[in-house]
Amino acid sequence: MTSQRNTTTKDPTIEAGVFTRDAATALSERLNEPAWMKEKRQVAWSIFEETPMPTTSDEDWRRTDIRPLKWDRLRPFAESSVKPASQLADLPDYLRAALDEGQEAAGRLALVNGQVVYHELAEGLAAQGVIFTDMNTAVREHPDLVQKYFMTECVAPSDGKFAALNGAFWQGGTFIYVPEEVEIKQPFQVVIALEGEGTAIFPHTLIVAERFANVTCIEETVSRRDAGLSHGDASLSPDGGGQALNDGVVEIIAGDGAQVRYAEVQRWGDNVFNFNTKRAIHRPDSVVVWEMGQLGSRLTKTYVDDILTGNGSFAKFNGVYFASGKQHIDLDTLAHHIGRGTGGDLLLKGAVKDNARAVFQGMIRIDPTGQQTDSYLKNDNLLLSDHTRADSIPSLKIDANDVRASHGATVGRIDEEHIFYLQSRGIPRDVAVRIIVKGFFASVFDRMSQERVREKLAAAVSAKLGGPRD
Amino acid sequence: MASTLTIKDLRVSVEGKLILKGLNLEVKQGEIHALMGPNGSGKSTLAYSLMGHPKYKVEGGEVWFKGQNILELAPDERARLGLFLAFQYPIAIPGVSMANFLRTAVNAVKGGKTNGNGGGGIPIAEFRKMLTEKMELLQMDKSFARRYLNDGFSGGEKKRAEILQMAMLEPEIAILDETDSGLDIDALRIVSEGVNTLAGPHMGVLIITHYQRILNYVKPDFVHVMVDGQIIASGGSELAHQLEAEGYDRYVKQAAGGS
Repeated sequence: MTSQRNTTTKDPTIEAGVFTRDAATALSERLNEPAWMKEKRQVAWSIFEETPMPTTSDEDWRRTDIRPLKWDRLRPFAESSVKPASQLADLPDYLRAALDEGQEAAGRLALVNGQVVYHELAEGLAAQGVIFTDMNTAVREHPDLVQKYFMTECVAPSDGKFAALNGAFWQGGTFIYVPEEVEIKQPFQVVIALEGEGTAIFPHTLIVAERFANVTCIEETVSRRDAGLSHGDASLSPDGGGQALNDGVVEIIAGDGAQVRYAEVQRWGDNVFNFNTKRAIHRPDSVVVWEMGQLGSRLTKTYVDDILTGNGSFAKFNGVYFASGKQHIDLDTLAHHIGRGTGGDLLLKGAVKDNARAVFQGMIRIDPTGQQTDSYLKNDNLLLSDHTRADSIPSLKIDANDVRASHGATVGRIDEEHIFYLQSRGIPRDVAVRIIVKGFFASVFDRMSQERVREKLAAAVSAKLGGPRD
Repeated sequence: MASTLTIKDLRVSVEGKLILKGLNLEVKQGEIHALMGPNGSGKSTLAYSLMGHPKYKVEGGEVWFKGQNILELAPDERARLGLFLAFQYPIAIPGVSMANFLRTAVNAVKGGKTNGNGGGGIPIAEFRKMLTEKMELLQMDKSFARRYLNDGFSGGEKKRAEILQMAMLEPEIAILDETDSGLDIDALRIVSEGVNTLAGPHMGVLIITHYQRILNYVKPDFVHVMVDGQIIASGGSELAHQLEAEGYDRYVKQAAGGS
């Protein structure tokens, strides 16, 4: 929901000449796409051109300055250094770890720089009509479904500069279709990897759960500064060299009574600028659960919207974020209650240390039609050093008279009394701090349905806190 | 030889105001001392100062324990030497389970492991056995171990949890700061029985209390009266009964007249 204004400022993306209409056309041709998808890209590009680049004069971007991103140092396409593999065991370690090798999954998909390097689907699911594939394959093999849902009723190119750019340059991402009354117990696991400096990727995920379908998707994002090398912590050069870009879209269509759980473990390297537009459309009595850990990236701006159109639909959010070093993490949630008797329960907790900064903006919006809505939003922030900052801006816009809605926000430091209490039991101060921070996140972890996501996030929190590993 | 906590001429201020004004006291392993006094006499200041709370500023004096002036040590170092404080108002820490916290603390104090992850140190089976025994002693339900530290605990549960921590850490000198306050008679009996079981040749106890009530259950070897930051009278357990009957007025007047 970017508030846009006319501006005379030159558009740095267009000035840079990297992303152009011709480049979008070339991508369509290289992928041998049908005319309708080519057309979607062209429309998205036109909207992109007309949409001003967000600046700190825009309300949602007031605290997030994206000028350090140097568009002229980016490349719109990059090859994958990882060769496609038919066995999970043949993938590099970091991809296997991201795919939770050893755990059961309904299917697995690995994308490196937008290209598929591994795909599997559990036996029997295809026979039930379940589709789980990368988005480019879905365009070829399931054109009717993709044409119907891709950037039509959920996310649209007009939702913002980055949604439009994704619409024009998307490549890779996941397509999941679950037919009526099909319940899938195990999660689908997806890893989206970015490798190489200057690489720009545009994953586009679309999940369609039909009436009473039940599905879980876990996406993990990872990056490597140099292909074939584990990414180090070398600092970025002042001219923007070493930067990379992820511009993602996730669309979820939750049919009547459907249950969709979408988890994201975001662990981009510290050179990645990360922009996302994620949205769920709720049909009656559907439930969508977002489980999210934002740990990586140089800068993140992610929108997560629930459009609760259907009566009795429900949105839940269990989120953690932990920014360190020079990271800047900005999350923006919307629970838009349109249907009658809808519900929202959003809990996000974040910690910031070193010179990092976190921004949270959360809106509960209840339309006149959204009577008997019950919506709750809570955001807590823990500052772990003197040079950090966290802003928490929850807001309510209520146009119905028979609803319950509440929000809460806190920004604070660890209580010295808590540290003293643990120290009085023989626990050294630094260990006491780590125990208290882990405890701070526990109330979110306790709510998470996916054990493997919880474990990964808890381990990542421990690693960020420093000290001995679990 | 028994360890001794020796407090010499201790002077402590809080927010610029002098509260302890030259306090002397000696507590040996194996002894039970009761420190009694009216509100505002500085009893809790003494407890926090001995444990090293950063809000309490030492203006002078020494506290010797096991050959060290512990006033120079961080609170966790004092705990690892064998000192323990049962808090009057235990702190709730959400998200930290009682069992994990206790294991970390036990490993820090006894196992030399302080990695904060509950790893290493005392073997897990041995720890569990010890925890079960101590919880039975204090008539605590097993579910306590899974609950978050003091989070949502009733007053009585918090005090029992303090004594449980004492039982697990097995200190040489334990200070109980108003452990009897806010307890109903059943909880007081359970807590007192716990203290009696744990006290012995290996543990010295300093019971800080406003009332004589807990001393009906825990028999002190020595009773001290504290008024205005100093100990002004010491005696045997009969002194506690005398205080119960007569109140602190005489001592308060004596302290006022003497200054």
